[in-house]
Amino acid sequence: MPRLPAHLGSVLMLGVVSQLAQVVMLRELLMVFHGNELSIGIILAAWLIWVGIGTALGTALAERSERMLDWMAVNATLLLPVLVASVLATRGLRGLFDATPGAYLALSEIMLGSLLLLAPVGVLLGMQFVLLAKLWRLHDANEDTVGAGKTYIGEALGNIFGGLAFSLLLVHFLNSFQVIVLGGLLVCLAVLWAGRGSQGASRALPRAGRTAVLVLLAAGVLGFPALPALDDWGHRLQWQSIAPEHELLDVRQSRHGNISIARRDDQLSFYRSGHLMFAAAGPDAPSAHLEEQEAAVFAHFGLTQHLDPRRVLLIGGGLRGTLGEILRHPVEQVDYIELDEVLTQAAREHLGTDTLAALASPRVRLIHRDGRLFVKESQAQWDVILVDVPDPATAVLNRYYTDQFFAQARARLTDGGLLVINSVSTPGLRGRAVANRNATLRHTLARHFEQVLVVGDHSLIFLASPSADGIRSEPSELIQRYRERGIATPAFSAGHFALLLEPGQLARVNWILRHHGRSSDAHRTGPPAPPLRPQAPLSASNNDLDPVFEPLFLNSDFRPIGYFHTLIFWGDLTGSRGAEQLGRLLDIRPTWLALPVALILGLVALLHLTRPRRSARPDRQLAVGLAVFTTGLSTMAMQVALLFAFQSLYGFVYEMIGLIVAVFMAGLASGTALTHARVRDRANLGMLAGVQGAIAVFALLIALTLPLSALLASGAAVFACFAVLTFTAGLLNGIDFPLTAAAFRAVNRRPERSAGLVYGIELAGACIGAALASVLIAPIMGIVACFLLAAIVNGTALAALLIARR
Amino acid sequence: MSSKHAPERPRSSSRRGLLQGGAAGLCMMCLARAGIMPAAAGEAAGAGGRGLVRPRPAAWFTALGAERLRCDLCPWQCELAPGETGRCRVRRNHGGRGQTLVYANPVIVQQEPIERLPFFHVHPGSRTLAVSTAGCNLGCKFCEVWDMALVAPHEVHAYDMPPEAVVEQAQTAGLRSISYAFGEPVVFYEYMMSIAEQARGAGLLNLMHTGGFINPEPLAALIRLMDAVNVDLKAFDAHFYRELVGGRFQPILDTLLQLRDSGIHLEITTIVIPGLNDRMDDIARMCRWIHDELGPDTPLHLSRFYPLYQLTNLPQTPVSTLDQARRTAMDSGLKHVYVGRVPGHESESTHCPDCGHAVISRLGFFVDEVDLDNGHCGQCGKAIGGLWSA
Repeated sequence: MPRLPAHLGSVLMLGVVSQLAQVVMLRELLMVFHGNELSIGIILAAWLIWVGIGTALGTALAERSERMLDWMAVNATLLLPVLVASVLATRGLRGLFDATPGAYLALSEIMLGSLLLLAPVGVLLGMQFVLLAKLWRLHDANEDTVGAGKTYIGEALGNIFGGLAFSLLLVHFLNSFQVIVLGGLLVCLAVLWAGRGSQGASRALPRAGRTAVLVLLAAGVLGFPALPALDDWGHRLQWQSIAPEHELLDVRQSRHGNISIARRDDQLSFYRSGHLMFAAAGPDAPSAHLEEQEAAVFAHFGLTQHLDPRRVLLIGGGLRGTLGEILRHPVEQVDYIELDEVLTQAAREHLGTDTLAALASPRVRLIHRDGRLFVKESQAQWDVILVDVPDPATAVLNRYYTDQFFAQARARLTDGGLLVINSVSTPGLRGRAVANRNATLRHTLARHFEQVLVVGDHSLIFLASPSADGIRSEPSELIQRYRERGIATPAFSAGHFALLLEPGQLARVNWILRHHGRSSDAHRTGPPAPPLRPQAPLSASNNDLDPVFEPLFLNSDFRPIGYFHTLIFWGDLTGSRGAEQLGRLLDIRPTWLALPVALILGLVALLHLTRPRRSARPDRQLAVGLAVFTTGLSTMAMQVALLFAFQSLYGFVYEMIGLIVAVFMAGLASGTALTHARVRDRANLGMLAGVQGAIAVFALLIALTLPLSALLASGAAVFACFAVLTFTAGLLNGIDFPLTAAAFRAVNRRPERSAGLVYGIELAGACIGAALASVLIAPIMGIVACFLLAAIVNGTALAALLIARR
Repeated sequence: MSSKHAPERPRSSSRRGLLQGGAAGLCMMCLARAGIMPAAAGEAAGAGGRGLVRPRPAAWFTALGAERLRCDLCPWQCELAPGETGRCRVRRNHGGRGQTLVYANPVIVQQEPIERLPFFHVHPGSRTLAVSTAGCNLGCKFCEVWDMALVAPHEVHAYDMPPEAVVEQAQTAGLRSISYAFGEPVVFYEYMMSIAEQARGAGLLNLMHTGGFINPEPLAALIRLMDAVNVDLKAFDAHFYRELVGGRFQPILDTLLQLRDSGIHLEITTIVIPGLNDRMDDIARMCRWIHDELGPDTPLHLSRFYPLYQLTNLPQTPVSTLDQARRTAMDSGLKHVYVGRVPGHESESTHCPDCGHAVISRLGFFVDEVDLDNGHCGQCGKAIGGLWSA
């Protein structure tokens, strides 16, 4: 058995620290930005850009120097302080931009911030890949790109390990600084091990390098106990620009994000990843009920609409007071679903006695689970289902507002049952984005419910009843019911029904939402102004209206347009022109892809026809580069799409998502290993073309069969199906790397350059694929379109390779 | 001036530069221009459409030569080259002539309880016809109607409502007042004046809720037609006005003093925003100023802030902060201090400053009970300031 190279540890640690740094920086940056897919896409793009630049620098270095270990030592010595400084700088970013407390950063600031903060880490990690690939080549004493392939496999394995370690272990026990310092220390240790001087090509690390790494190692270990204090200081620094003059009471790490609790007077505000979830009364609040009035209105208005609510399902919101107010009604049982156990635990320790009493009530069954999964699997029936979760600002949250979820919820309602959801709005619904989003929710509900009534101004309550007479829009009967139940709470009274159902506002809001979204350009023209005297909402008929324009006004699991509308609304709230730019994306058409495809193929053909007799074959370089790019793009687009589909069909379970990602990486590593074993350094454009064809066919097959996966009833079958598909996507991606690296090298005869190019181009493709799929293609064109996109781009690469091969 | 001008066709947004960096930027490369076509102006009053604009000559412009104009309506005093529009988005220089883009094209024409504006000392329990247009000369980061006030007229749907149609609408509905509120009435000055003149002739009250950012001369002309004004005093702090309101502080105080001198009924609204304008020292200074300069009977509405517009990530005001602010205001000698947007709060009602009797009981913007006898406390007979009589 061949001896393992001494720098194998460094390769693995590159994967580990890359993963840890990426996750930590992502979490930290999302505290500053907004947790939507666009922010994530921008962060990942910035990461990629700098890793790519680092790869280029590493290539230049590797081609000019043989002292790879020395450079690794320099890199490792810089990496640890750079990681710490990056996290600290992230926490001070809002201050740097002089951001208004409570305001979101604009798109331009998000881009600039990401680029600034990720530069040093990205460059250092990008350099490491090429340095290690060369180390491996020197170790193998070859002139090929096999060492790069091995590095690629090792890094992927490190990624898997780092990802799983973070989500299953580190996030629960360590803060951001501790996680990255741990990663940095492991890199230092691995470099010391690689440079201990007993391995052939990996010659010993010079004394100065060894000393520097040792000093850093010692500093890291000795300073480790001080990191909680640094973390605390960093949080307080950041807090001053999020909510000044609010005392930061507690900070906890949950796998769903960082949970912060702030106090002002007797009010407690709960933030997840820097974003306000809800405010509630603290233990000392003398007017606790008024403090939680929004929750009280939601609960009482919803429950009073039902004649006799006995069994209630509450998804989210219980900690902001909704649960306690529900219990004031004569309900027999409330199933309260809360996703995040850490949040519940924190709330138990800080909130007022009313909420604690509600949580302890024998009538309450608290379940920590994904709400979608719970509703899907439950056989129970409820009289009222209250969904009190944040707006559909992300793909995960959007699942509570889709066609499929509403259908599932309706199936779980008893006769005369009600579904109640809410969303943020503006009083006149004049903004395009807010009207598009809320009309989408209304129309999606109306597909499954006979009656839909929307109530409110800044915040809307959507009532949905399967029967034609299940909702009251006149206060009188509701007042009578409310009084008969003998409820007394300062936060709500019989008089509130008249406030909520004020005829003018009620008629206007319902008229706008009912009429908007019924033409193909409605998203652009915005909502119509209601007539001066609109019809009463529940007496209005839809018979005289055009059908809803479903591509943009029906929110489904497989086309989650709701969160794209919310993304544009977020653009509005940043006060920049981001919304205008994002809004134009709604007009994209699949046919637009034809132009870049034709241009690329034309360029390859042109280069092929005009190629010099003895040259580096620019047509082949372009075709191979395109293959690398499209493989990265399509496999990542498919992975995102598979995750979306999996979430919809299975439910959002954090551990499962981690596992799915691990399965993809395992496929990737296996594919690379497989090709490496069979192909070695033989450039084979035919085989590469075959892989492109295989990816295209694979994507096409999924596109055709994905809708059928909804028929899978068993959770295990769904998981198995998606695991196989994900592994296959990873495998195809992995197969591609050694082939393309070898193909490049066959043209340019420079192994480090070839490896670096492939690595960088593939990352670029992957990042663009992730952003395109999650921000654009999935929500606007649907999940199936992501697979079609993959099929088209890989088909293009196949055609380009066939042209260049001749 | 007749309304024969053709509706202005709004320009499509110019093609924006590509978003730089990031995958989103690449996506932008595929974008086409999203044209926004206006609907034709409706033929009947009330009908309208998106982007309905009828440019009309406007007052308060001063010629600067070479076709340049200065708009003297508000303290910004925008100097406009031909084709330029002021900060308010609705007043422009059209070939050397000043125009308003918000005449007879209101975005809001709706009946509202008068308490919603809020006017708590004007015909309690009555309903009013609220009118507003696009545009604003301020830029509050916590604007409640940002999708109307902080946009240009061509970006929203509007009604086709000449002044006489508005007055007729109010009369037909049996209302007692017309309110220029919810947006910023200063920017639709000419339209407001036209309506107000006709409304006064028809025996209707004219009420205005404004940010108060207006120059003294146009304000003087306006006051003559108004019956009551509610001014947003957003903070007592020039820095707050500069950073969060996008305006200047002193002109607001000047407006308040001018309103005081006119003797018009005046109410004040302050949205209390946690961490930004809720220091009790500042609130005490503000209330002392109101007491000393405007009088202790000036009603003050301390409204709860809810996460809004650009301040979406800031929690709502703790009720205890509002209570404390109200106590501070009362301690400063103000007699009528209300807590707003906390329906059910005891301080929504009007109490007699002498005997403490609840002369007007409210829940939110609904009036439960009025115990006033021609403006006097139903229990002790103390006169309460306001417009009460029929």
